[in-house]
Amino acid sequence: MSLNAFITKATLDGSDDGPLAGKTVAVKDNISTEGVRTTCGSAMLEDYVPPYDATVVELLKDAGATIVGKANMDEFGMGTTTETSAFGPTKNPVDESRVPGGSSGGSAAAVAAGEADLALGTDTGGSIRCPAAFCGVVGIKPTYGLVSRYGLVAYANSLEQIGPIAPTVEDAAALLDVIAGPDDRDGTTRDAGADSNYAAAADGDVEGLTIGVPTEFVEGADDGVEAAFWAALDELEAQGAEYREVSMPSVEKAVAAYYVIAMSEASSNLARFDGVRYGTSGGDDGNWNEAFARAREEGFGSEVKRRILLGTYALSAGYHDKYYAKAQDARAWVKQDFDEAFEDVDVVASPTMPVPPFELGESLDDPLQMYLADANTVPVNLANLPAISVPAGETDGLPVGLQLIGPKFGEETIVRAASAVEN
Amino acid sequence: MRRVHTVGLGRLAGGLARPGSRRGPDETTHTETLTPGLRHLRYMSDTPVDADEVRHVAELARVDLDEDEVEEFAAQFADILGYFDALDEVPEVDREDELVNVMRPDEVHEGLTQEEALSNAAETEDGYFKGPRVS
Repeated sequence: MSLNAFITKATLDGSDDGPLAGKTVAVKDNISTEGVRTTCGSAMLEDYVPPYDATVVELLKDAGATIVGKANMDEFGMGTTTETSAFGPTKNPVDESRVPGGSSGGSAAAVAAGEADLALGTDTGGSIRCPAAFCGVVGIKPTYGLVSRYGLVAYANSLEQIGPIAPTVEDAAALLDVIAGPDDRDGTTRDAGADSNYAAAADGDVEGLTIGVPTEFVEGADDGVEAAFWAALDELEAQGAEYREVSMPSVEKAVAAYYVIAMSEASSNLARFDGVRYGTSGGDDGNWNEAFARAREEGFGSEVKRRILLGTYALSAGYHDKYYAKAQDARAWVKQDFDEAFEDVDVVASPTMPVPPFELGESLDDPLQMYLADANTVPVNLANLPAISVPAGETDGLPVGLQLIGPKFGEETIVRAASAVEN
Repeated sequence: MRRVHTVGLGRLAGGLARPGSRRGPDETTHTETLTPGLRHLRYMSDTPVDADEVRHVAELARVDLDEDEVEEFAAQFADILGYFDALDEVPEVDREDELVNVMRPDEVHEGLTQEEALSNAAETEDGYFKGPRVS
């Protein structure tokens, strides 16, 4: 049975040689590929064919990679299971009755099943790390500004980054080396990463590394997940790392802050889908407001409508200060807590997801419960930091991911620490 | 040697909303709507979301909803917005970032051709996008 990891299969050859020569790569379907439809998992963009490549796609081709298809995803990246895709859910290759995580579920499933050597995902609130954890592969969410977002269909600009998914830490780091670096078409990119060699940092040397564990990230996790997490930390300790508890009270507010900010940005970003320049047309009946509202009713699924409406509400008259402004305060508080933690520790560790992979269909009816599953991943996006999810054992035969968070542009540190988990 | 916690996900779902200093709609002068000229300073109450409010936000966001969706969203929004009330307890935080504008002169780069720019439009006319009537 097919996993439904790809929305569109294609073969886009890269240059003859380069660091990724001979490698096949799945590209998440919200990253523009010239001449190959890019749907964002939405009926709205079912027939949308970009006239240009995203910067990361140009870089993949220049590096010699062969792109093998556009990977399935939650609609516009809005979900934690890949079940909100208009093209049907992707199955988890480890257990096909389970979700692969989301929103980059197709990317992680393709790598875990060997349908691609490597993949690109995008991470707005955990969308690379969650599916990496659920499928038993490695995923990196880079520091904000390390990788160009030019050609990425925007959902929440201030939070999202493109990043690699791969079977090993070294392979993920090598793919990050290809896509990292400044781009004059994305004004938020920085010079860091221009001459990176993150792959070389995957040397497994954690002697003297200090790992902080915020109690807030571990309390409330599933027992089996927590047991696997502590076993991984014991293993790192045995290799010469030391661990200490740290406190980050702000993360209790991170899920609320994240969803207010992400939904607010989404409500603004997705205003572009009016069915005129691209996307599902609302036809000619009535005036333009009526036509736009019809196009958006037809083109968007429930989760996307829910987030657009809640974002519109949070930004609206009388509620902006209560929701959006307070969420920005919470974001600054989360950054401050991480800054303080990194004065004492080199990396911060947590279970990537507090729970094992959900069963297909288990969580669709209760959006709030789904949002709460992102508790450990969203603080990283709020603080613009890098983080990696690396496989760390199993619970009841299902993969568990260990998340290692680094200081800003500390990709080498998290790659080094994660590579020791593989030892 | 380590604490083993057996708390369920319930921690995440409950207990976060405590009475704090809430700023209601009355105390703000901020106005922001999707339609220029429309000035709803208080178009929704601070208490549970009802179907009319969902319809109103959907109208602002230009998304038609069917009646089933309106009912479903009203119930879900009450839950979700109730959870967002936890933000009332966030302390004032000194933001250290000194933000400065970064400017550069405009430069002309090659862009899409007109044909490429129009290639995904449902309707075009004489090299332009063709949209629905304005009113």
